[in-house]
Amino acid sequence: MPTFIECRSGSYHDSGVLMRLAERLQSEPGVTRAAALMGTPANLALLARQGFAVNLPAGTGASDLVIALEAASQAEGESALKRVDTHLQHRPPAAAAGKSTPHTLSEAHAQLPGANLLVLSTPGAYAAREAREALGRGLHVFMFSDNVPVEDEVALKKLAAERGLLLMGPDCGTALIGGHVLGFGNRVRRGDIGIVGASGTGIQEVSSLIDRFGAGVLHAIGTGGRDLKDEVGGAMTCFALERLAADANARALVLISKPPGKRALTRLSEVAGRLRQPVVAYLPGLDDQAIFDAGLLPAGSLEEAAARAVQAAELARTGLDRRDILAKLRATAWSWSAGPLAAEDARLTAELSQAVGRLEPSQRHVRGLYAGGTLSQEAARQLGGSGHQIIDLGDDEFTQGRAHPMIDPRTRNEYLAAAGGDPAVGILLFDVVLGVGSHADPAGALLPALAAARQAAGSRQLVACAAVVGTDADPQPRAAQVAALQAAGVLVFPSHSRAVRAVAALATS
Amino acid sequence: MHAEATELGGLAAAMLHSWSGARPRAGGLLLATFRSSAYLSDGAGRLLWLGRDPSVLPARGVIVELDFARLPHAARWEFSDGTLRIGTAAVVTTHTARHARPAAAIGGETCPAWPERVRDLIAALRASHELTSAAAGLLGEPLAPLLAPLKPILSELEGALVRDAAAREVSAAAVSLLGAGFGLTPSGDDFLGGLIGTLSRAGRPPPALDEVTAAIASAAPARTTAISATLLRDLLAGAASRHLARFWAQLFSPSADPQSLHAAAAGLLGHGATSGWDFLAGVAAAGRIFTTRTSSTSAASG
Repeated sequence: MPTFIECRSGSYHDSGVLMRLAERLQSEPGVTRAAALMGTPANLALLARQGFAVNLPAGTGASDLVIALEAASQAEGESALKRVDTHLQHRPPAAAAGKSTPHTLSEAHAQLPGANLLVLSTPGAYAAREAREALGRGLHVFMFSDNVPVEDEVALKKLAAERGLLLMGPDCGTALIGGHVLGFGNRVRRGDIGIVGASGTGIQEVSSLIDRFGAGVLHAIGTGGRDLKDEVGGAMTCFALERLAADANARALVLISKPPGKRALTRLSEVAGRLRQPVVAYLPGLDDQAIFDAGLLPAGSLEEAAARAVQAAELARTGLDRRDILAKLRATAWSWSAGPLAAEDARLTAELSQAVGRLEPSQRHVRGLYAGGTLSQEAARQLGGSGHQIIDLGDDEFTQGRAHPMIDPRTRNEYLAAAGGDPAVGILLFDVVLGVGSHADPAGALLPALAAARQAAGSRQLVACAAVVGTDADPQPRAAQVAALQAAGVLVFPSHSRAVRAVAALATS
Repeated sequence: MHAEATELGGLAAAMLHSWSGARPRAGGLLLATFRSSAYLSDGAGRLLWLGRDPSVLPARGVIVELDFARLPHAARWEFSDGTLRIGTAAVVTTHTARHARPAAAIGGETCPAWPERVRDLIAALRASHELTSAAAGLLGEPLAPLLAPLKPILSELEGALVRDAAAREVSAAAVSLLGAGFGLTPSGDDFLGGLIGTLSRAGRPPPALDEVTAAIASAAPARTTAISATLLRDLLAGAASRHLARFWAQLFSPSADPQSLHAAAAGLLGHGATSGWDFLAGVAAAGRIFTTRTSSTSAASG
């Protein structure tokens, strides 16, 4: 069989590239053997021992690349040699490129030297050390890890800010950076609205609603739940707002958090006053006037936060400045009866009213069983007390030894099935959180438990109300999840805020 | 692209200083670019490495954040007044770069159980890392068909060092490994770096080691790639890159724990597709040689 040798002067490639080149040449039609080596005397001797006629041009040296192959025919060998450049340009993903699984940050960074962000999910005791190293390497950090001491959080956020880097977390569940989901998140269209949030499911609901309102998200930056407490002082919230505002594409910003501490609110107010863009704030528990005094536009619900941000961005596109936008939106009260979700909401509210009318007099209580912490808090604000129970099954006490209910439905399913046996429960309220990181079929995983609850209720009716957080672009398309729930008799409200509002109106009347 | 170098290896600092002083201008060719690094040649057999990862930092290295993929192949470069210009693509200033502290010399008591540590380390790494073909061959698996003729040379070299053979015999085997294998730093070179570098740091070196080292350094420029020859000669002269220095420090430290050694080795394996493994194969061979020579000496003296 004919053999072929080609020499390329001064062509340096690492061994991984050359081994892949040899493998790919060997898979060319008719090629029986191939090698790609630097033209050192030792390698030329090895090729000669393999039967290759090593007649290289004068001057070929150790720093030249030598490609050798054997083919069944002259034409096939020549054809394969013509493909060398194509094969050399081929770059498989790092995981397929013979790289080992990194065990240290240093090793991972060496494999992906262009990376500028670390996703950190080590146990809390080790997380601060790794985060510090990452910041030292110039990497932004998405810190999924929880149980990180607050003093470490403060120090890390100070270091991050000094270096102009984001420290998202600790206990940060969600971020959308440049259209990429970190942690749990939904596939939403990109746009001109930036989100900063202390809450994962709050960011998920608001970003999904922005998508459904026809707008898009620039980035969503998680800060961790403690950021706006005075101990941390809103360090990352303020830094993230400033970073987003510096993006020429940002037209409006949304802030989602538990109420800030006094000092943090002062700092937040100073930052908001410097920004070009209006900031819509969902800070439940803080009164509207205090929020407005801080230079922010208050939103009373997650849906309102999303809708107001879309309006603010639209106004910004007309050339209005931040103050004018805030004043204009402040002068226009938010209305549940307006907007794209109102008609569906009205129909479902009427259905809910009829269904509640069929309940027995004893069934006066709502049982809210949640995977999303912020969603459960939104429900608890309106349904707390009076015998209603809103349970956040993603809270630490329910996730010991088990994955979060967004991944593992078992704990919630147990509570759901058991709720059917409580004669005081008439309405079951729950969230279904879709997106990257969530269960592959959350509705499908939950419906058997709902059937079990109904069975346990016997002759009593149970009204099931849900909100589905996500979009049709998610790995579990929203429309299919909604359809599955509806087929099982669940009233699926178009937003969580509306589900809570409708249920609360009936349950507290 | 404009970038500020952040750190200079010891030899790189000396080279740049000499170009700034007696020879105010220097220049040459961009020899090779990779995803996160590049090599510059000055046309007189001297190299400068530019790279992003400070955990590597060779002695001739400059740490700088550049988009290396955008550097044009074979571009001309020149250095003057502390500023490196690579064609029209990049300007790197070095005025504020700090000089790397030299790695602490391995001194005092080295942990006598280091060969066992190497054996355990490689077993653990093999359980979790993919072994590329040439490296697998050097670690005892069958060698790739092309490299199979190296097997007797490897055995011959190891045997000669164990029995304290004459320097000429050991050198012949060692030199015949130079330039053998895949890649920019061929497997034989990396193996020799691990073997000789470890034996010279472990204490009680074979008597021929100095002469063998000199023979390798002398033969390398003609027998292997320019980049590999430079790196190997630096290493044999004691100027190891930062990740190698860290690995050796952990290996020989009496107080090192397995996790720290594993982390240092894992960093090593991240460099090149096979270089880390080939280097570790050399360290493993050094461990076998050290153990056998030590037990022979004990038996003879007992």
